[in-house]
Amino acid sequence: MPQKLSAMNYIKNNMRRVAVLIVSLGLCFVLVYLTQFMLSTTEESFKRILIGNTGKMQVISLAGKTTLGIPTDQMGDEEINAAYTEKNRELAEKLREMAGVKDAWYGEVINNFITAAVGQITYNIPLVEKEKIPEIMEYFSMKLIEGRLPEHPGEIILDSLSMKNNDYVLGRYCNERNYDKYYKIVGIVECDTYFGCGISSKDWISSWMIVVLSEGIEDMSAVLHEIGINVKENYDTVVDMKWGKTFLQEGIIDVISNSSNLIYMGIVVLLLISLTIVYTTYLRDRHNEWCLYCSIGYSRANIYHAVVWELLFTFGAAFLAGGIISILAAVLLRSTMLIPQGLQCKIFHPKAFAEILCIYVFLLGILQIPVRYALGRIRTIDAIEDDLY
Amino acid sequence: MFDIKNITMIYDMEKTEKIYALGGFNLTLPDSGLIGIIGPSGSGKSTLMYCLSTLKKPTDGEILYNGKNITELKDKERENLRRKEFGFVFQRHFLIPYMSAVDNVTVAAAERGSNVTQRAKELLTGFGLSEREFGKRPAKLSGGQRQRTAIARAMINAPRVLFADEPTAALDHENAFAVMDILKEYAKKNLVLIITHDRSILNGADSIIEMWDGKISAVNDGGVLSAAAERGNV
Repeated sequence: MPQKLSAMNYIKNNMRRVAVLIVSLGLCFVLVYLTQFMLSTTEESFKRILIGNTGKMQVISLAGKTTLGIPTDQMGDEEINAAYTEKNRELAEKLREMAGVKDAWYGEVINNFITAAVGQITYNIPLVEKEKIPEIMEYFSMKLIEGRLPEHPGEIILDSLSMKNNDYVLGRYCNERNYDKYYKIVGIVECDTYFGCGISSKDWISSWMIVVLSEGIEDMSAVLHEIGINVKENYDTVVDMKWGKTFLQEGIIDVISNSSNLIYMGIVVLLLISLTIVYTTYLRDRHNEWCLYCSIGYSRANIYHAVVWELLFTFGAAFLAGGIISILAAVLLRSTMLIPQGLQCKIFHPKAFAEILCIYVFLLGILQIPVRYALGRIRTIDAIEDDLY
Repeated sequence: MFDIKNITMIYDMEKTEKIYALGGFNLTLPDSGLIGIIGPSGSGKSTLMYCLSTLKKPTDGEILYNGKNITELKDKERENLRRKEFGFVFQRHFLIPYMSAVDNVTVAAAERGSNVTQRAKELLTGFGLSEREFGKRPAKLSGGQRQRTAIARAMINAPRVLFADEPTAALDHENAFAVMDILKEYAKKNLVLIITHDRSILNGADSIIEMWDGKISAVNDGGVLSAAAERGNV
């Protein structure tokens, strides 16, 4: 078998140089992956609310004049309020009779915040009578793990992740700044989503909305249409799964994707510049070596073949090392930063792996330019000797 | 082995005043033997060696190697010839700085196999390098050891023709004669062409070709060279 130039010969004898390339490329991998990982905490956490919560509970707020048909121009404030309450109660009753709807009522809700790595979102906490709380808990598969159930006005229970995310402690108040200590947390529950419920405070008037408990209804506007209500996007609010999915895609995923693409581009450009400079220096140092190979009978194709294998080894090792370090770092970040903050995350991001692979292929392609240039400059030893003597 | 016909090499072809590195002469070289080529700098001895070894293509003339004109070879054929038939020792050693002495020798091997490393070690041992030095990189070897490693690299494929440009330049006298003894031994079955300024190392050479200004000025052949040198060109 004819001997070929071995890529390993260069690699094993130039570990420091190869290590510099592997570390640079590996660092690029880790940066890109961890960026994706951290940004995904927003998507994963908010998904629980936008898909998880809206899949079980929908909240509706309709405009009195344009949608419910209340002639507000001819009425005083009290009359408007009375008419508005009556219309909403009627609507809740009609909704209760619709297929797929477990329960519906017109009542108060308050909001609670969830803050992720990027962004903040609110979810609705229904305020109901004391007797209704066990029913809601059962519906949401909530299990009391600490404290007690709300018994008095202004008391609420919250899920454990919301407690961690907001640094709440049992016995303190929810949204202290926003609601001026009107909702005291008396119990912590465990459930699949960020959620809570409680009893309305007599001292604070919260938002009144139609609250619907239903599973399997994605488009609540369509259900409202069936009972003669045409939802107008600009006037009415319908927080259902359809809205949740749209908001998740357009308001979260697309925005994050744009940001992450910019970050990736910055990383890639910086890496590309530094990598090209370093690699070109390495190639320059190998000019005489390649001239020797050419003089003793190796072809340029033999040399190129060996260089390609060297690069493939370097990129492969960087991908492997970067992948392992990224996963370990993600696991570490999850346990030290994200779980204590009550945030959700996904350790494996196949899309990030694919994107990094594309980045590597791009860089590998760009590095062909200095390689081809260096190969083009190969001369035989006699030409070098001619220059010297 | 080599049949050189009217070989001419002109540098600066585009200029009006052309430089004749080889001025057009004929020469026939045997299949084996130690042949020294001597002459002052610029006499054309290195150019002749590079033309014979296919590193340079002469401007005119033919070089027949075993009957085949090697000035018209295709790239693949030329590469095969350089790898399998020819061995090179250059003026500078051109060792690869990151490789050990043994790797520097085996890198030139035409065939792969476990015996390549063994042969490289044998060659290095024959040239006076100890086992301790096999793993050293060129920077850790003395000038003489580097040159001997370069000679071992040239001999790894047991080439039919060994081209050596000043092979003993970096060696002291004792080492130079030791290397020459090995080359003389090698020349019993193969052709060894040595370019040198040092006439003393060519004692015992089968032929000595003297060059001057791109032409052969004298051939001290002892009957080995077939009187083919065109002395009329001198």
